[in-house]
Amino acid sequence: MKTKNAACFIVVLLLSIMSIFASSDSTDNSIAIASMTIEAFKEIPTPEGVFNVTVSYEASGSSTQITGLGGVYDVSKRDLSSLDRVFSVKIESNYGDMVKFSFRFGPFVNQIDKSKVIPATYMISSGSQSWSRTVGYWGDDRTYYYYKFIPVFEPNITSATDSQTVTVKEGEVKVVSISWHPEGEQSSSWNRFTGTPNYTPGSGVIPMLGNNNALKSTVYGSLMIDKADYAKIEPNVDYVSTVVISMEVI
Amino acid sequence: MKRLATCFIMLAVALSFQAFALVHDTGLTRALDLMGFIREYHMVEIQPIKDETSNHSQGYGMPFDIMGSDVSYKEDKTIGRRIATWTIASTYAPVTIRISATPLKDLGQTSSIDYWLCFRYNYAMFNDAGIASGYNAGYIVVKSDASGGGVEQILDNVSTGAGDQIYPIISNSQDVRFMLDNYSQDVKESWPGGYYSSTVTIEFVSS
Repeated sequence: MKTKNAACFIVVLLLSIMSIFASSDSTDNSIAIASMTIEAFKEIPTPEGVFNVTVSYEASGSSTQITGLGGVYDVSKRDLSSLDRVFSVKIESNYGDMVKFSFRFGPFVNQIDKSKVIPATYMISSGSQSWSRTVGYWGDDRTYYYYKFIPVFEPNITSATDSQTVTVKEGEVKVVSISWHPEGEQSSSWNRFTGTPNYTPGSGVIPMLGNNNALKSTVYGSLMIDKADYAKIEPNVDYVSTVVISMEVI
Repeated sequence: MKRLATCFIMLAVALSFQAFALVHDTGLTRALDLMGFIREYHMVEIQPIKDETSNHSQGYGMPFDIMGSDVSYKEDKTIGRRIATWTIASTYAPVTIRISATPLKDLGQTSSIDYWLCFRYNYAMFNDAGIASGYNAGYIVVKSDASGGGVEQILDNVSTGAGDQIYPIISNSQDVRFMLDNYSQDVKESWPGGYYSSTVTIEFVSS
């Protein structure tokens, strides 16, 4: 009996020992294999990147002025893959001037290492410009005139790349819309105006502008950075792009 | 018969220590890995080191930033970032180790990044009397290869005496180190941000 019990015990032990070794996948009498996945990452720096968009100007002629207005844009707050207004330039010219615009666009330059640049694509479209309103003027007929002006480019700049100069067709600085109301009316009730001033928007001679016949407006520009270039953006480094706008009176 | 049974009981107790040692890793308990073999035995294990700090600032382990200086290329391939440990044990000698590694790839599979791995090993050598006579320490350096190629190295543990006795090879928890191949900064900056992964395979074959 004792011999039988011992034999059973030995068999159980052998099975236990075999199961211990069989539980490991890496154990084999002739070959063993192990593998591992290496995990790594590269920081996506765009949430921390900040762009300064700087616009400069080259004025031409005493009656023509352009003033630049740039902005600082945190790329974590906006999607640069979609074209949007990211810079604006105020322009001013006299009614009746023939003007010609040209634009020169620069890439984004890393402000720590100026040799590092990120290409950008720009867009300036007449269709995307806003109305600009001149200062109201009381005419001789005691009517308050309110002029609307929109800069017009032809053709639109839809895909200018950096380091490219774009010249658009010259055009006349003109008013494309005018509102008015007689003295005593509230500006909020312009829709109920009576009387018709001798003026057709966009043509002819507008009523007197007094001593100041300058028209002011704002040109809005947009830019795009290809998503494939996002990885080049270094965290916490300013990138500055410069757009030079020339407006020549001819 | 009694002696045989006692012998097996003692062996079973010893193996039980190993089994329990694997689960005692908390509190004040301290575990000891006991490794024992019965006749032919062969095993290889690679254990990744996790860097679970919030900004992966631990200085070793995975995942790691491929732009970090600790994984940048150096002439000495043995001093990269410590990312894992590996253990080999065998009663065969000599044994052949084949190691292959695929390049790191981002999730979009748009970038393929080559790198170097250094597998250190260190095991006791013996003389004919069965007495430890020193250590065989070295390393195996492998470069990632998209075609599946790798390196092969033979490890031996045969006594230098007249007996030519064969002894086990046991190299326990040695470093696995990582460094990138020699890329320019411009190339590195062109890699897209995000998660990268690759696979390392070790094959341990009796000769």
